[in-house]
Amino acid sequence: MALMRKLLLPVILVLLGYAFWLSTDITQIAAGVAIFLFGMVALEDGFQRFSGGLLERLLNHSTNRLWKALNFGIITTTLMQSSSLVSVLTISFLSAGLINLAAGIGIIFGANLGTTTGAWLVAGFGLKVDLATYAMPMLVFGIVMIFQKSPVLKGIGWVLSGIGFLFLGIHYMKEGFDAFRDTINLSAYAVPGLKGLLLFTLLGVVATVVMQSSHATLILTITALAAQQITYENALAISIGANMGTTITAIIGSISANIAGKRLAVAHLIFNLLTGLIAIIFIQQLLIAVESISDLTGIADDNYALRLAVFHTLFNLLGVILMMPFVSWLVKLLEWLLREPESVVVKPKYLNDAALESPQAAIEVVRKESERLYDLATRIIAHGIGWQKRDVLGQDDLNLLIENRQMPPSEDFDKAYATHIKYIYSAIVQFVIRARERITGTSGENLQGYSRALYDLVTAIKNIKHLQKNLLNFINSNNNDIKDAYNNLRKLVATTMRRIQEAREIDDTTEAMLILDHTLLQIEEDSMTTSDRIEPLIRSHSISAEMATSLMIDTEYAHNACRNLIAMAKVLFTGRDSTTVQLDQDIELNKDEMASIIQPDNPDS
Amino acid sequence: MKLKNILERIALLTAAEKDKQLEEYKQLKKLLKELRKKRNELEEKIAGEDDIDRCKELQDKLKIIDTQRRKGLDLLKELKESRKSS
Repeated sequence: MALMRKLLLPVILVLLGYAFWLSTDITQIAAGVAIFLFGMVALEDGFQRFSGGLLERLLNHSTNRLWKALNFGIITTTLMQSSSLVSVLTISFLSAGLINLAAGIGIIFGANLGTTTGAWLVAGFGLKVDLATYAMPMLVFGIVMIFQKSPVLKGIGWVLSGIGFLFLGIHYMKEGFDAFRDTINLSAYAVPGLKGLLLFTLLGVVATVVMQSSHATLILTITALAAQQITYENALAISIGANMGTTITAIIGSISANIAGKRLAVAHLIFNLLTGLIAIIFIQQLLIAVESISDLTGIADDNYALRLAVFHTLFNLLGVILMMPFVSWLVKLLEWLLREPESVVVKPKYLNDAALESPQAAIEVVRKESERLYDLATRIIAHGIGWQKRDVLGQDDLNLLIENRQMPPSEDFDKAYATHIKYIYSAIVQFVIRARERITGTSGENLQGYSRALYDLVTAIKNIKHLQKNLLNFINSNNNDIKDAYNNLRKLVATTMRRIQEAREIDDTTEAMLILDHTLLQIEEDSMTTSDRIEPLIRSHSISAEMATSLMIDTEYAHNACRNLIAMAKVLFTGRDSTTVQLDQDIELNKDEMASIIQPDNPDS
Repeated sequence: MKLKNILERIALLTAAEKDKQLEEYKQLKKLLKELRKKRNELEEKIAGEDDIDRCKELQDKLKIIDTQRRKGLDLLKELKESRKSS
């Protein structure tokens, strides 16, 4: 399979080279296709630069109902003349959990309908006028704007150039087929009947897979049809094939997506295959419908290009009408077919390559995965201090929990870290590095902020690991003083986690920060009074010197763990962007300032 | 030509730095406003609080905000002067 993939490109190049040597007309047609495809790339790039997050914001607000999602798919694909950009963004948002699967399916249905407008544009307008006349000024103005500094002007430039290249590509395809007619008549190779239908459908699939664009296949077909190089019936079959072929691109693209992205790609495949099948089975009925609509709208009997556009829109519309009532059923089927696989090592749930296409999606998946990592970590930390997670984060008095003397949960700390933390942490760090290769500015800094926050979390876990060794031993000690001292450390860590949970749950970010700052103040107060608590115990021989040194080091581990957790929470749970996080750090109280609050009468503070 | 490219890049960087400073200035003003609002809320709560422990907690929070506001105002002044000089 790998060998076939490696050979595919050289084979295509050789075939193309041979075809060009055979005929200059083929060269012109192929060049027209190449320029058209480049135009689509430029248009996509332009919209991405120009919209700068607008599309993502629209996606966020326009998809809470199925009909809205459908409209969104139709409108955006019509404007951008590219269903692939819309599909990629949809998979990206779906993978990030910003939209649900039903909304994603609605968008894909809409994109399928929207893509039919391209055929109308070319058949209705593109074939009648000299597109090169319009293309050239667009290209000139577009290129001039691309060289401007303003990102908005650059974006407009790419959009204009994209449209210019599209027009120019269509122009060369037209010219190429017109000239080709004089040397060879491809319509002589037409295959009638069912055989022709199936053969040319397959040709449409292959052409779309090779060119990675159903749009290009369709435009090529329309220009060939206009030049009478293919028959009307065979052109219809190619358009069915192009619809089916576009799903192969989506399937290939979903390989790197998470389970949600894969489900959407399969939904796309099911829809397009079903639509194609319906079109093949009911082709005669559809042709009658095309005739009726064409007569009603005044399309001439010999205007096969426009009739092809009608057919293309009709069978896609039919597919949408038939499938829309069954979307919720389709969602259940997909969730049943493609289930989340179970694994011993906990793998990332939200991270996926599709999310890299959009800064907002990338930030969202990193945020969700980071929060998930924290939730996994709280269980390990709770066990590390000898409690269940529900006890640590619950409302019960911690002194009562200590008195109950429940057996601490037994868990291999290192194994828990290896299976639940390390893999996801590494994956998030790697994802952020990859995302920052294409995402810059504030969004890039936000991502980096999450990475640093997770470093704090993992450092906190390591501190708890060091603390655990003596803690689980001394909380069962007969020596009440050492037992009380270590229980106080447990209460300190548990209280910190409860305050973090409190900050996480409130909407007021200023209040959340204040809760965290106050908790930090309490930790510093505890830190400042450590030696005042331990020294009397040593002097009175209540604890041995060895116990005392263990206690002092373990107290520092506990304090550091709490400080790390608070630093992490300030980034992860307060919803602040990187600029505000930096400002928070600039005005954060230092140790001296905290000391002056804790011990206001102390002249040294 | 190389010198021209270098000068153009420095100009771009300087412009980007100015934009960043302005953004920081605006965000800091917003932050200080939020802190002032929070400060007023805390004062009201302290006035009506009878529980000693709760009162101490609120007073500590008030002191935290006061210190942060003082530092924030100093930083705001620095940013303002930096913008004037550039």
